[in-house]
Amino acid sequence: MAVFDCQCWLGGSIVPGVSQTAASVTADFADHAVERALLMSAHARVVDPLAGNRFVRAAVEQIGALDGCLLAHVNRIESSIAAMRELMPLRSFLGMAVVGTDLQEPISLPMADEILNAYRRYTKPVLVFALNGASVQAAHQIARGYPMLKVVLLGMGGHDWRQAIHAAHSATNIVLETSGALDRAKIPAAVEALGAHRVVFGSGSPGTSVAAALGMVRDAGISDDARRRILWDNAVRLFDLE
Amino acid sequence: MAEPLDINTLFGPLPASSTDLPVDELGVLMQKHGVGACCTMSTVGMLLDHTSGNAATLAACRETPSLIPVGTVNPLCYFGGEGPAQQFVDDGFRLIRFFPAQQGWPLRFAPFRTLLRTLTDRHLPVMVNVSCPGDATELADLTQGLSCRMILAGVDDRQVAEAIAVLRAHAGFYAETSGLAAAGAVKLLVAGVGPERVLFGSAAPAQPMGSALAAVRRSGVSEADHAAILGDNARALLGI
Repeated sequence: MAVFDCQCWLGGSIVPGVSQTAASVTADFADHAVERALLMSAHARVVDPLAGNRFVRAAVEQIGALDGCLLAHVNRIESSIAAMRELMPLRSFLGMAVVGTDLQEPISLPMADEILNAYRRYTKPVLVFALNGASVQAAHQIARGYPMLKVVLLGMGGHDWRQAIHAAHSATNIVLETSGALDRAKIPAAVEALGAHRVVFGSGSPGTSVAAALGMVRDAGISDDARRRILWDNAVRLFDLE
Repeated sequence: MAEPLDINTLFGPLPASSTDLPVDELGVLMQKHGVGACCTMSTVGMLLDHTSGNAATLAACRETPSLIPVGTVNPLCYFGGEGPAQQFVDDGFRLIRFFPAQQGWPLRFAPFRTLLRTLTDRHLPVMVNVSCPGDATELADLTQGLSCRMILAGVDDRQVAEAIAVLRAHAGFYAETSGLAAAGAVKLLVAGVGPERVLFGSAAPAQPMGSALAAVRRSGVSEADHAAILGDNARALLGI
């Protein structure tokens, strides 16, 4: 079953040599049937949005299985918008993630508003880290404020994944991404509440290895059809790759 | 290769997790993933009362031979003496677990220190959940002068460097893999301390057994190292 990984990172691993280059990011893609992956830059997140996102551009130009996800930082609006204007017109950049200083930090609508206003012309999905209940609420606010955008909740609420499902239930432009807590109950619960079409697979690699993240999806008590949608079909549709 | 032995499972209700795991379902999970044996204990022992939890563990393990009984004691409810340690030996427990973060007691805690000594005197291995950087170092300091066999459970990528330093300095220490979901983390640990000091654990039911197994099987270590990590080390440690 082909896999589209909606969240993997260039850099940021504490393990030497892991995910430092495009080649090391994709080293075990074939082992896990990962055919495409959305790449984000740790450098863009914690150092410099413009330079970090350019590293992603170089990586996706080097390896066809990689697509770019621009990282926009709410404390670096000017350079984030500069990176957006440079990279988002490219077909290889499929979406933009909005981050703050800490991935656990909720990104509220007022914090992200200027960036989102500049971004909406691209009509591509926006990705928001939702690793706890407070971040889910903030992401829900963004989804309500920008109903024309698909809003992907990266991390699916962490251990507060029930809140993420609830938020997705009330805002139909929310899509849940499966990284976050390795919890064998959350995917069946999301599929039951929302349908399999609202969930996409993401590993968060290297923070969680693709093998471990896929183990959770394969353990989930869902149909093969639902699993195929989560692992591939939904991402293809979400990023308009059909 | 012998079937895997999972050194870290619980059975029973677990409200902090999203799914409870009845002991029957643990058997189904084992079958699904080809796991031959599990060290397990009742969640009641961790959450409420170690005496009734240990009784439930023994009952479940008598019913199912592939389950290996793990005892526990909450140091907050330990009032001294050699009784609990000797009882563990008499009852046939193979391993004793501690849950400081879940039960709200510090590692530097006199009742825990006393328990460690009495368990070490009876050659019972101990497994302690480490929840944050510093815990492994604290455990290493606490066990200075004791020849205990200590398993660090739940070591994650933030704690790998610390675990390697502690395991290199303390021959009786081992690390369990359930927290090592990060790419390359298992391989890094094995490179740092050798495969013989690493034990497979899934932390089921809180985490999927499939994820934990995949993290070890796809870690890039050799087949021989897989065999050691997935079961041989634990069997040797537990005397099975």
